[in-house]
Amino acid sequence: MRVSVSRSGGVTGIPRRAAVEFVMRGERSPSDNEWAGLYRAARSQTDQLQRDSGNGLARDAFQWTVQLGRQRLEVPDSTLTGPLRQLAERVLAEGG
Amino acid sequence: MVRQGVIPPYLLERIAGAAPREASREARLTLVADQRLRVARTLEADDGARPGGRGGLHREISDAGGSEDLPGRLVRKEGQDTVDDVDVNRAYDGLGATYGFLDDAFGRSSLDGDGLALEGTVHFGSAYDNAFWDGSRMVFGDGDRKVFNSFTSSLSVIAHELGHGLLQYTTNLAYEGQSGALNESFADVVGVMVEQHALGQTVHEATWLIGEGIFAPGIQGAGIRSLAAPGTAYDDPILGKDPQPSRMDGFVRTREDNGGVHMNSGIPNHAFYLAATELGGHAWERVGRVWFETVAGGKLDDRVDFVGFARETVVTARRLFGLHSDEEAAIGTAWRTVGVGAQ
Repeated sequence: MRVSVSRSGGVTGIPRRAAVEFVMRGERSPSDNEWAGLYRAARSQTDQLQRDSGNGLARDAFQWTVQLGRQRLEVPDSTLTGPLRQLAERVLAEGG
Repeated sequence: MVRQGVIPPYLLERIAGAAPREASREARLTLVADQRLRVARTLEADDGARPGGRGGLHREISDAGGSEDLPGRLVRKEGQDTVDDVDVNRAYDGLGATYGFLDDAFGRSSLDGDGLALEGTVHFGSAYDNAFWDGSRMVFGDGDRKVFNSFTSSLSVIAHELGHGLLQYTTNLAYEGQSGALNESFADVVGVMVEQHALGQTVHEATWLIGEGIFAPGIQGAGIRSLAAPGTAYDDPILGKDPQPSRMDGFVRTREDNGGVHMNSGIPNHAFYLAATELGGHAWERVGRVWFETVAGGKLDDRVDFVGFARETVVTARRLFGLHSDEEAAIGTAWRTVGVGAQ
C-alpha cells in the first residue's frame, strides 16, 4: 500500500510532500503493522469526512491532498482531524 | 517492510551557531521596540475626539496552549501590561502597529473602519509551521524551531494576516486563481508597508521582504517572499528555491495552493514595488494609497483578474492624483513591466 501526502498553502506558500509504502498482507514487519493500523483507522474515517470545503473566509490555511491507494482526498486543514490527520502528519514527518 | 526514502532533511537537526540566533533576536527586539514607540506616538496623537465616531484600538490575545482549539485562553487584552510570553507580546504589538498604520496612513479605524477588535491566538498546534487568518482572528503557530521560528517573529507576517482581514471588510477577493493571487499580494503589500511604517523607512531604505526573521538559524533565506526580487527570498537545500515569478511569462498553473496564490502573487507584488520605488518617499503615501483606495472603493469585482486590477489602480491613481500624474505613469509602467496590460 502506498500513502502519499502533500500539504500546500500556508502563509509561507512552501509545499511539503512525502509518501510511505507498506505491506498490508502476508509477511509484515512491526513497522508495516503500525502503518497498516494507522491506514485502517484513517480509511474508516474518510466516509465521515465533512464534505464542505472548510471555512470559506480562512486565508493562508494549509490545503492537504492525501492519496490512500487509489482514493484521493483533498482536505482543508480545518477539517483534517482524527486518524486521517494522524496518518497525514506522520507521513509528512517520516515519509520519503 | 516500510520503504521510505532517506529521512527528510527537513527533520534533520540543524547545527545552529549562537551568533546568528543572537543577531536575529537583537534585530527583532529592535523592531518590536521601534513599533511600540510608533504605536505609542500614534495613540498619543489620536488622543481625544475621533472624527466620525470611530472606535479605538482594542486587542485581545489568547493562548491555544499547543492545541488546535480556538480561540484559546485570553491572556492579554487592551491596556494590560506585557506578560512573560514573548509571542503574546509580539502579537499584541504587531496588531497595534497594524492598527496604527491603517489609522495614520489611511484614516481607517481597524479592519472594518469602525474599530473592530483585533484578536489573535498564539501557540496554536504543535510545532505548527503556519500563521493564518480564520475569518475573525489571526492565528500563529510556534514553528518547528528547525526550519521556522515562531510565526510571531516577523511583523510583516503579522500584518500580512491583518491584510487578509482588511480585504474581508473591503473587497473580499476570491481566494483562487488570479483574484486569489491578488488577495495574497495585497496582504503582502500591507505586510511590508506596516513594517516600513513602524521603522519609518522610505521605499529605498526598506528590505521589501515578507517574513524576515522567520527562518531558524542555518536556513538559507532572507525571508519567505521578496517584493523587490520575487524568486530570490530563499534558496535552501531543505526548502528548495523560492518559486515566485516576477512577470506574467512565469505565471504558474497548478491545482495546489488554490491555484498557486502564494506563487503568482509575486507578479502584482513586483508591480507594487516598481511603482513605489519609481515614486520614492514612503510607500503608503502614493502607491500604497492607490492600492488601498482600489480595494476600499467598493467598485472592484471580487473575481477581478490581474489586468482588471491593474486597470482599476490606474483609474484610482488618476482620481487621487490627476490625469497624467506621476503616480498614474509609474503605476501604468510598473504593470507593463511585469507583463500585465493596464490600459
